[in-house]
Amino acid sequence: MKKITATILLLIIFLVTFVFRTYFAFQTPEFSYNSYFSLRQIEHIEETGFPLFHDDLSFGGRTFLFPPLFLYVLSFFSLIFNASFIAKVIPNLLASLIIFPIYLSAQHITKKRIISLMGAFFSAFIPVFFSNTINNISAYTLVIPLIFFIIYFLIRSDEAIYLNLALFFLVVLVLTHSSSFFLVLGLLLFLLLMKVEYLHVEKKELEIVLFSTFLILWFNFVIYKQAFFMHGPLVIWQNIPIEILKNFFFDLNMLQVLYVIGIIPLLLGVFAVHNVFFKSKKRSVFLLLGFGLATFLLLWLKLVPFRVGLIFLSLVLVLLATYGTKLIYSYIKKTKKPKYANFFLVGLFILFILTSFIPALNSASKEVQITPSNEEIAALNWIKLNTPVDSVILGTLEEGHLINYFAERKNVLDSNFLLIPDAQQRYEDVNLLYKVRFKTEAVRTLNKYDVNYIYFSSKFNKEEKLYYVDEDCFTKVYDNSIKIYEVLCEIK
Amino acid sequence: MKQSFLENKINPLMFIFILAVLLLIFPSFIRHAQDNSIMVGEAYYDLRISNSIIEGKLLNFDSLQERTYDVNLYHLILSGLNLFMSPILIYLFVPFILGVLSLILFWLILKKFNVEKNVLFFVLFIYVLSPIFLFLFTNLNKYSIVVVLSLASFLMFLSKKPLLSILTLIFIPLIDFSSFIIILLMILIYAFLKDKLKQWNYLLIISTITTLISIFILNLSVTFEFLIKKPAFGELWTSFGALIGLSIFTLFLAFLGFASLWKKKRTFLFFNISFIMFLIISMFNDPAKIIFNFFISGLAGYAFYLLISRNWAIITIKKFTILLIFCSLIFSTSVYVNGVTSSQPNKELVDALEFLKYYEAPSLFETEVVFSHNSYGFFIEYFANKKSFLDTNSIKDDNYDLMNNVSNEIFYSRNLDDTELLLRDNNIQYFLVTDEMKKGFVWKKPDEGLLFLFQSSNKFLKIYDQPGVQIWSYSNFVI
Repeated sequence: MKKITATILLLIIFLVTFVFRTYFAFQTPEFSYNSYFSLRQIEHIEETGFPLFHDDLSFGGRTFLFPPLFLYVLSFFSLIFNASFIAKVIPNLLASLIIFPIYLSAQHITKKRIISLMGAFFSAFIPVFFSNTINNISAYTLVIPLIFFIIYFLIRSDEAIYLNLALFFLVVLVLTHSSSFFLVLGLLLFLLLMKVEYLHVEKKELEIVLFSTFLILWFNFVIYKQAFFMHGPLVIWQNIPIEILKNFFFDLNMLQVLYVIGIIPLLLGVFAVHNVFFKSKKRSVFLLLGFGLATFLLLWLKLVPFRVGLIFLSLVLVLLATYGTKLIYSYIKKTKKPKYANFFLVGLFILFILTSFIPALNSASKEVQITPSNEEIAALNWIKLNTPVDSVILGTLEEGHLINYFAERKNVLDSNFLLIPDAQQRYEDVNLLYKVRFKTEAVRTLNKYDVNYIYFSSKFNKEEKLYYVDEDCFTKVYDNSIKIYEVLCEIK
Repeated sequence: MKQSFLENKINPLMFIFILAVLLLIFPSFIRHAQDNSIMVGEAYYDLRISNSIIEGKLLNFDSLQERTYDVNLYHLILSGLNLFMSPILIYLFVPFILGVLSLILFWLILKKFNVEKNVLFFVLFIYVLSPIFLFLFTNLNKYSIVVVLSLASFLMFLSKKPLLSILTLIFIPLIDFSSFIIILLMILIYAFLKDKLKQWNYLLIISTITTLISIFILNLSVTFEFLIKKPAFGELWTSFGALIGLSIFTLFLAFLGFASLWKKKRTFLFFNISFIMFLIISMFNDPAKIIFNFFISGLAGYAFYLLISRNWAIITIKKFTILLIFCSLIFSTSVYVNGVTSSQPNKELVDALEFLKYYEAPSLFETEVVFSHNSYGFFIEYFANKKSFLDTNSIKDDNYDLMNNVSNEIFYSRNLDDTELLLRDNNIQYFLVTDEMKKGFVWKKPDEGLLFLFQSSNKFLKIYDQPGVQIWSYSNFVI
């Protein structure tokens, strides 16, 4: 295949990916529940020029720590267009960029354009990546392409231009998200693998690893200094309550994991790993293995959310799969029936469509439905218009950011637990408040957090109603599919 | 450039000396500029004890806190110094002199190990920037003296003067038994590895004698408890808020040094074994952390030297990496300095406690106890000359758990009857409340527990109210 043809095809894959993504994203005007945190930050940057590091509403008042580059990127574009529109388009545009580093890396490893193009297509429609980044204003939409660009530049670090680009992207990554630790771990494991396999580590490689490690460690220590002081080493679990760590990080069974990663990348990836370890010992693939191992380690230690870990893992597997595909393709080429090599590729593509592409679209159509309904937004708007400005609203973990964004009122908790001294207790108390049957216990807990109103949607609760609510201590001030109760009692 | 800096333009040792002087003076200077006392934390306990020794009040019982006192050579030294110098001068000059002395001793020890001149510079540079160096020598504490004695003892041992080494070593258990065990362990490892059996025997005999002396003089049932603390990974690092903490970046560099020396592991067996062993012991022993800091400084300094002197493939990365390493080293130092300069007691607290010292009110109890957070205990005892309900040393008391429960009950209960009962049982007459306590240190809400009782009950009288600090008095009759 000619280079120009490959370039045109690659651009077509990019456009197809972007069109599919935006098509799904615009199926709903709303975003995933956690996205409203980012949306609030973007709007705050638009108004003031700075992110909302000191927030009076989240947890009733707290401090946020995060590198803000991603939010600045979105805010910059929202100067031209509406913030909600930008929040739909830009993350999808960024996530679609993943095909370029995957194509370039695969091309460098396999030297086969057709296989590299297949790899690019595979990466765009990995179910776990496609569905989780479509309607989510998440920094991962920038982080993931950045990391894979860096991997590509590192593979080609022999040339000064790629090395400089790697360093530049590394700095951008550090300013974007704390998951830059993934890169450090991947690089260190790469060095370890090289040592274990008695392969020579080049000076440059060692120097890049050293530089990246110090840069990422230092920068994150500076940003999260306060959190390190407050939570100690447990900061790496972001102060997330134990129950969430237990359940949230493993919400899929093995079969579902295969479904969201894709069976083709997994099988071919494993084949490539076997080949690299026992036959070819290819350096560039060892770098990918380092990152694969890093993902396993992070997932095992629950240091990354399960789905984010799976995204990294699946994309590494896609790259490894291109190498596996090339090995099989070359093998068939050498047999008496070399023309079957192309049939193999076609078969592989069809299998991918059946096992990954269609599930990806299916998951995406389900994912865009997990957004706040019109009734929820109407209820939150009612709170905004009819309650005192300093009211505290009780909502579930998932509804916390909505309460801040739409109702512009204080919540009791949301999904950002860093720097919250009593996160575990709050989480237990809020869960209790949706289950408890005794009024005294409920009122005491509500008083503990100065709750003025209870927002009850039953969307994230098993209970159909609040058992302790009666006319003595609670007034139903909003009665629709969503119910809002005003808390009247206080226990002295 | 490197050569000219290290050998021609400026004496590297002079550079290290100047850096050490600046770093040791800086926190005191900042505290003085903020109008705060230059002494922090446990220094006030040590000063009170040394004053009591001078006044002849203290033999083996601390009458103010009503607990037994274990004789400690450090307090005797401090009271000796107190006879000639004011506390300010002691805490300004003695740690400074000890710091410089430790630097010289460490330098001499490194020379005994034939460490290259250039490497020596980096080792000392990292040592001076380490948070432990600042902990030891910006404020006088028992470890400041212990470290100097330990270094002196080890140097004597290396200089084949075992008797002098033992003579120096013998003082350590009289100050801190745990430190003695740690330093003895280090010397024994060295003696064992170097096959210096004669010294080994000397040490065994002397260590047995000193142990017996210590058992005789000190209350070892307490000391042994504190030989091994509950292991806590977070307690190891300054970045995680540890008072005696290491720098994560320095440890990372030390691991690089460790890996680089691995090829010559037979030559550097003592360093490698000690590095691993003290890394483990540091998790549950403070003196081990202090000794470990010397090994970390050594290995990290060696790694830093290697990184600077190696031929880098990419010069730009070299410059940035060196800059980053430098920033990383400074990071932990700045975290520690920031912690020291902002720590209690500040001027407001000292003024409040001095007011309490001379405050005369109808006393309810024979012994007036001041109730506050236990971290203010030493300040209450020193400045107000009153018994504190809990202080940092209370953890050693047999009834600590009970007292801690009582303290929590008083802090958080909104039931006046329950609280009054506890106040009367424990002779609590005064309450020291700081803004720090109201902003999350103790309470999270303005009307939580005791704060609610202050507002709602007229049995509490605010006798001191200045920005940052309030003192309340309790009376069992309605005011």
